[in-house]
Amino acid sequence: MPFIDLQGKLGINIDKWMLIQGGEQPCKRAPRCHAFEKEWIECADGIGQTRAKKECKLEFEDFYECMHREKTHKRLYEIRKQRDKMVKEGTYQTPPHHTGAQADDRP
Amino acid sequence: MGAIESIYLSLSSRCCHARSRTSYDVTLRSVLEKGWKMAASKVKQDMPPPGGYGPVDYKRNLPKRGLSGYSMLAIGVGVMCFGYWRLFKWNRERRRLQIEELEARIALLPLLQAEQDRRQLRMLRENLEEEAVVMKDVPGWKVGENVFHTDRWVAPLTEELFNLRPREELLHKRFGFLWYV
Repeated sequence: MPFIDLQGKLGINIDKWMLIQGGEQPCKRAPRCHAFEKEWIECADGIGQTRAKKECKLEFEDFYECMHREKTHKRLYEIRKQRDKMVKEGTYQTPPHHTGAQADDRP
Repeated sequence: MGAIESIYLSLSSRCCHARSRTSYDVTLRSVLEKGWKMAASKVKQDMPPPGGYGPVDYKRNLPKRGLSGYSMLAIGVGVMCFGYWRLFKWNRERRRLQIEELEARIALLPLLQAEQDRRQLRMLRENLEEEAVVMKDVPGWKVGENVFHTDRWVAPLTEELFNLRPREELLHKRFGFLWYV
């Protein structure tokens, strides 16, 4: 129920622990998009949904991208497609470190 | 009784198989005994020795031997307790060895992290240079464009690092070693 903090009054935590990625984690391991989520929540807290959608657009987009990586995958796919096209045309030779010939990859 | 025995045997041998005594056999035997009783004492027969046979041991023989139930239970419980004690001792020792292994890993962590960082940076640099070569004819493409709006360092995905390499390397990196099955 809104405005009645029942769980706080009873001192229990039935489902508040699972609301955000950055809740308490076992072994204290941070989730992958912790920084983005933190930024977004700090930006959007307490200003209401309508304002938050306008003002925190960049943080939200970063958080979404971190979680789903749609732009990253699209970019990678474009590069790979172009590379395969060029290899088929014959205008591009894959360098030796990308052909899998070098088994040793030590830094 | 030898004659009666021989008659019985001859009668039973007429049947094709040996069989145990049936009620027919018993009645036949009693009829034959009554009829032949008079001639029994004059014939030489196989009789028991004078004074009868000796005593025959017919009672049950169940000697008490071995440990009692209580002592067997005590021995079992004792062996179990000894086993538990040994197990707990060894588990404590294994815990100490495990802590030592963890401490060794902690000591090596800077080296491992530095190696991983160098490897990732080298792979990202190579990918960037190849991207510049490959996408130079594609209109509207910004090489090395950051997909995020922020300047923070974002840990690269395995797909990003292995994008231009053969797919087998990516699969080996992702699935070559599994913590679980």
